[in-house]
Amino acid sequence: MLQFMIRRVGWSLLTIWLISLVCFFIIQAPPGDFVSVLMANAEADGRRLTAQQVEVLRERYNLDQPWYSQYWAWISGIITQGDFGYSFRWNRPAVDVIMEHLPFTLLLAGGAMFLTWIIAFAIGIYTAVKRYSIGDYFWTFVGFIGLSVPNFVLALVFMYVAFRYFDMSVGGLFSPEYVEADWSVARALDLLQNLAIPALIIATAGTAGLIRITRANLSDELTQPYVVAARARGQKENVLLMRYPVRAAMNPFISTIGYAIPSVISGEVIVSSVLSLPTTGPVLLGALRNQDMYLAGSFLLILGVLTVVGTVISDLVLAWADPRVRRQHSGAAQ
Amino acid sequence: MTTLEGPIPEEPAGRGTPGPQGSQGEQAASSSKNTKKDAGTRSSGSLIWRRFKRHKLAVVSLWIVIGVYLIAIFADVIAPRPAGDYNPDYPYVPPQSITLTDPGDGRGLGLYVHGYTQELDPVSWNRYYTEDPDELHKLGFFVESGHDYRFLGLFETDRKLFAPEDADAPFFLMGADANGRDIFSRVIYGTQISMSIGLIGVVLSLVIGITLGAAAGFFRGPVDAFIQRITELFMSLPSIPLWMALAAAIPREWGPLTIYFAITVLLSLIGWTSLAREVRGRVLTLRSEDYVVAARLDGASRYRVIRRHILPSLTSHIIASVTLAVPAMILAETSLSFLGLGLQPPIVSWGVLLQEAQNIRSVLTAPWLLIVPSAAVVIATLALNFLGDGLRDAADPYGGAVK
Amino acid sequence: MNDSLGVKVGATAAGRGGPLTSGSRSNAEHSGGPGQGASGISPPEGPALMTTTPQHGVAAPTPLLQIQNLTVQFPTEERLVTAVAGADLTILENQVHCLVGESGSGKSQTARAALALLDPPGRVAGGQMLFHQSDGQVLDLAGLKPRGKRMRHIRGGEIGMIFQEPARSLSPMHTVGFQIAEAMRLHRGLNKQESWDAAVEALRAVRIPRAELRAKSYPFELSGGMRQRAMIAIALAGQPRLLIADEPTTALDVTTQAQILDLLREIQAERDMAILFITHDLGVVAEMADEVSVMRRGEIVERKPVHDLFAAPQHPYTKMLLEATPKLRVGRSSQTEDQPADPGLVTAAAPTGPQAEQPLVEVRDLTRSFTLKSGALGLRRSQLHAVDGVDLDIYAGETLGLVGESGCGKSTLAKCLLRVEKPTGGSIIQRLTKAPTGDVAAVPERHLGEYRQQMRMVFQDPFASLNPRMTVRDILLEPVRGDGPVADEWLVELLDLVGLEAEHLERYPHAFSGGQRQRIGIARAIATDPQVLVADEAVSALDVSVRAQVLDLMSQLQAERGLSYLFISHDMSTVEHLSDRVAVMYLGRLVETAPTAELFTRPMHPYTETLLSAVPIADPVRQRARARIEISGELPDPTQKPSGCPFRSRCRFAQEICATETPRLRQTAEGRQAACHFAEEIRLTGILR
Repeated sequence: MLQFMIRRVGWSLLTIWLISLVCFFIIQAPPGDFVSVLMANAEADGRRLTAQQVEVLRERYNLDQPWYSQYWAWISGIITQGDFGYSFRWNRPAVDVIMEHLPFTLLLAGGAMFLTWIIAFAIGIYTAVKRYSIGDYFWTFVGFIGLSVPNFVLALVFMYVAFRYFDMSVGGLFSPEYVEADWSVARALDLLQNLAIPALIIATAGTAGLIRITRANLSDELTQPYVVAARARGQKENVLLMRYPVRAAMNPFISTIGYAIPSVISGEVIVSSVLSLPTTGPVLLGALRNQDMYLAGSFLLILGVLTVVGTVISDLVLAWADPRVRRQHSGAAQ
Repeated sequence: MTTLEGPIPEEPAGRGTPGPQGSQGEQAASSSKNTKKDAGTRSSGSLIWRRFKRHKLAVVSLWIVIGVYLIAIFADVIAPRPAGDYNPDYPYVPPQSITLTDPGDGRGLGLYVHGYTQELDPVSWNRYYTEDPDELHKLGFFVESGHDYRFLGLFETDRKLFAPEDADAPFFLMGADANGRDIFSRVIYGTQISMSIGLIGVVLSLVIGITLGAAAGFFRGPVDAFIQRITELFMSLPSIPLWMALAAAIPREWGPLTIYFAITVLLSLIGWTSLAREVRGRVLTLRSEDYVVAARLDGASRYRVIRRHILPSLTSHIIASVTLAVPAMILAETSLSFLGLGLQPPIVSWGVLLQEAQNIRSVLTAPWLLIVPSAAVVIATLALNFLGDGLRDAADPYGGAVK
Repeated sequence: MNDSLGVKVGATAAGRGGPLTSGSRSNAEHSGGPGQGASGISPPEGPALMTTTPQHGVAAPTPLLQIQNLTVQFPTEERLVTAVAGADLTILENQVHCLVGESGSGKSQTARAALALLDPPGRVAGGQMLFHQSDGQVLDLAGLKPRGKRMRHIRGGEIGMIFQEPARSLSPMHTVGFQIAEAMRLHRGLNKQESWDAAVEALRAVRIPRAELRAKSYPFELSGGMRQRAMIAIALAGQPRLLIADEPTTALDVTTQAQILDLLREIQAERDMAILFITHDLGVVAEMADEVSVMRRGEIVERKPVHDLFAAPQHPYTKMLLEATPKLRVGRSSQTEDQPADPGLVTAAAPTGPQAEQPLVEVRDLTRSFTLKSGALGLRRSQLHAVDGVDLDIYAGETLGLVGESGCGKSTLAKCLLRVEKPTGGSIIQRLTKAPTGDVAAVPERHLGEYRQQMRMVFQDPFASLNPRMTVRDILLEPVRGDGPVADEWLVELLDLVGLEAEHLERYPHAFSGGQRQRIGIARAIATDPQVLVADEAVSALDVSVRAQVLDLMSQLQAERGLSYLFISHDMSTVEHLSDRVAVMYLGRLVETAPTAELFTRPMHPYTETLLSAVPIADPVRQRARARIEISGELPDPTQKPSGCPFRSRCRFAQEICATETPRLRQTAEGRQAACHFAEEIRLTGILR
């Protein structure tokens, strides 16, 4: 088991390294390097960077060196000093901007994940047990609608309805009276209240797929002989349903969660942009539009790393939850 | 004599397990053979089709999808106006209603739309439109519109399927945007771009996915491990931010067509992973199927084994996966364009159209800016999803479980 | 109570006499022949059932479960399938009642209907299932709500059930102990700790060693036999008065099957319990049954005490079943239809005598090992020798049977012969092709074309081995693609050879039954006019009657074309029926080869003896008169073979030398080889007279 964990973490480190290469490439992609962008920006503001300043900056980021030493300068800065580069648009170190917005992203993504999970779990079990019933068709249909309506459309519709019929101005994570307030229970509740709808909107996209998987897996499990065997020893239907097939069908559920994280993060970016929530989404969008590449690349890196970490965790949870997986990993055979 | 004419669910799933339980009784099969003379000559393709036809929703969806692609192909005929045609007199015109009437001025009974009268609010400078009960414009089928186009690239014409007989009359079935452009026409033209980007993107994904997936599944070993790593990398990246980043890297100076292709390539670059995984899994199982081993022993070359014995069994699954991948591509393009990172005007896609509904103010002024393109997106993706789902069920009646 | 006890003793004692069996058995009672045996134990029928069985004047034992006119239906979209059509079945107290039938006969559905365990959309459409409770009350099971409290009490509390696939009948997510304890809690009202202790105790009762440890194991950590024992422990938790055993040994190896059957008999003797034993295997029936019901197409066609049934079957279907079942030599002469083929087979091999000429294929020291990765980063590796230094000759015109239990490497050996798998060591010298290719084991795959035309394969699974997307024509054309265009007449001729018709050419495999598909597989194999046919469990997936037909076809083809067969099977009686010589494999090694008759009369390796003793003979008189070797232990994990002789851990003759020195396969008698240090010294028992 320990070996499996080591191996799994080892692979994910490799993935993270590859992600960092991709991010670095993205940072490098726009024409001109960082300093020339900075100079252009300064010129637009009517200032001028001295030749010396330019030289210092070039040296700092190894801009005259080949790409791999530039990459090295960038990545070692991140690892050793937490230096993610500089956001010229915010005129602050990128890491400060990120840290300011990341907690809300995590909160929102976590909430969306949780909702996806709950909804898919409940509907998945229902549709599998009542296969081909009217309820099954209805919920499957609802799930597909969730899958087919773009997140941002839902967000816009929600804003429209709230504004038009409830005269509420949606956007932001806090109601006006709490925006500047200190942290308190009331403020935290207000935050949760404001998060609920965006989280639900993000969740709609992921649930259909998960419902589908749960339904298919549980339907398979329901016909397994061990279910009949449990019935044959006199167990109650509800108890045996939850204890055996649902338990077995949970596994793909857990492993799918790993792959649902990227889609939740994606959804978060779009929905937050529309609802102008102070999460990473709008900031990333702004950075990309303005070619504030260090900020954008860093965001991407962090989101990517978070995703990988989430996947690793879901794999470890799976191994913890399923004795078969555990054995497959610790035992000899593949 | 209904007794035992077909498979009885006694001791299910005889496949693969040793022991004397075939999944069909011997007498059972021979008696059903006698009753249905042609049953044996049905190919598995036609059997899949028969199973598919049982999914009513999927069949309806198939017709909708066909309809949407027909609209895309005949967009020039259907759209009353060119996509970029604007009319500064009618910003944010609300949708018109069509009435069946006879105005009594000799034009006869027919379908008519009203003209508009507009008022300008002196304070807010907002325009308010009301339908002018006296101004009637007759509509006709295949009327001359004054806007020339080449019909399917064959010949020049300006006939439109359904438009006012007076080419200059205001005709905004689904309202207009800030520049007085007809939303209906623009959505029709958007169909072309959005649906084609889904299709082309998926074809590209398919090429990458099948090549890599089949290679991984067939050769196994280090090739498989390497391709698996790459797939995993792409799957663990949050796609929208990555798309955004890559799309942002596309130079703005590129022409609309180049950007269109660049975006398509980007979408497929990230979208191939699930297809590759699917194909790999299938190839791995098929590889060790007895009939594939039998083909090897029959002296079939490696190429022939793949082409004649493995790929045909894959096609139904691939078709289903592709059908499910198209709506995902469409949604991705729509999202990107909506955020301003995808296709750029003057190209018209559903996402580009939705870009105009980006802020709550314009949605409040003209809800049709949001509703009409969204409806197009939802109808198309919903139909494709249902279609793909039905195809998957039909191709794989027993499976469906993932991993 | 005395009465029923008397019946019980009589019934269970109908079992084996012999040095190793215990209990109050009288061998004399059953050694005298079928008639006498039958009269000794035949119980009278249940009151409601009308059968042709003659009445005997023994005190009437009480019926336990009376199924009357049971009808089970499966409404599907296209039509209504009637799985059980008015079946009558009476099980008496303390009786082992066997329900026999081929697949699709409705035997499992009958049993499941009793516990309301039919898979949807199945339902009981009519009939009664009267269960006589211990308090004298009679309960109609058909009238109970499937999810109701009373039915839940019946399940496990009154009627226990064990299933065909123990591996899949236990939840893989829970420990074995948990699942037994659950049954204990449900039916004995125990608390958590008590139920766990009871579970451990129950595991001990089904003879599982180190029960405390095993209770904490997950099902996949146990062997097949242990899983079935655990299932039995679960079924017995509520001390039921009827145990339904639905093909409980079909998925198990023959030695494990023997152990489980022993256990069931012992348990049945210890307790006040009847068994409804569902099986397709007449050998198992002969071993287990007091009374037998034969089922066909949803109806019970015959019901008789076991000795009567085997001695004087009445219904044509029963007769056909009995005839189609190979009975290990004695039954061979009664094989009717293939009489002409059999002598032909013998003459094909006999004239020269196999040993006189050079073998077509000479396998020497063949090894196929797999590397298993484990440990962090997969750096630790262990070797699994699936085939471990096998020497084997195949002669022209002979049928060489290859037997062994699952995992012994017989299929891998076949795959190596055809180079589906590449051997890791050793050589395969062949004399099949015109141009000599020498050692086939090392030749690159592209040079194997002609060799693979001469040596062909028939697969086990008739459903998986034909490409579902090709018509029969395409399937048959595939192997001869290189030979230019083929006339339709040739294809029709080929189909005719295997008993199919010209109209079948354009059909797809799904239109055929299992037996027909296997015929297509055989046609594909002989399409290239080969000399050797490798048949890997080629008839194992078929029903008894179909199996006999396919075997006849194979004999006939051999006689006509002088084919050699390598016939691989786990089923000793089929091998005995078909083979000229037999090779026995254990844990990757050949332990014995000998001409069939000699091997079955006087085995020279202890493992062969064990295997033979485990095979149930489809004849209750002979089966119950047999001396049985006790089978000890279980098949070791192939990755952890014992040092020296692989069989020593289960061998009753094992000495010190067996652990240190691996016995080589050596000549022990004329035409015989065995891999045992003491082959000449020990005296082993076979089955044939």
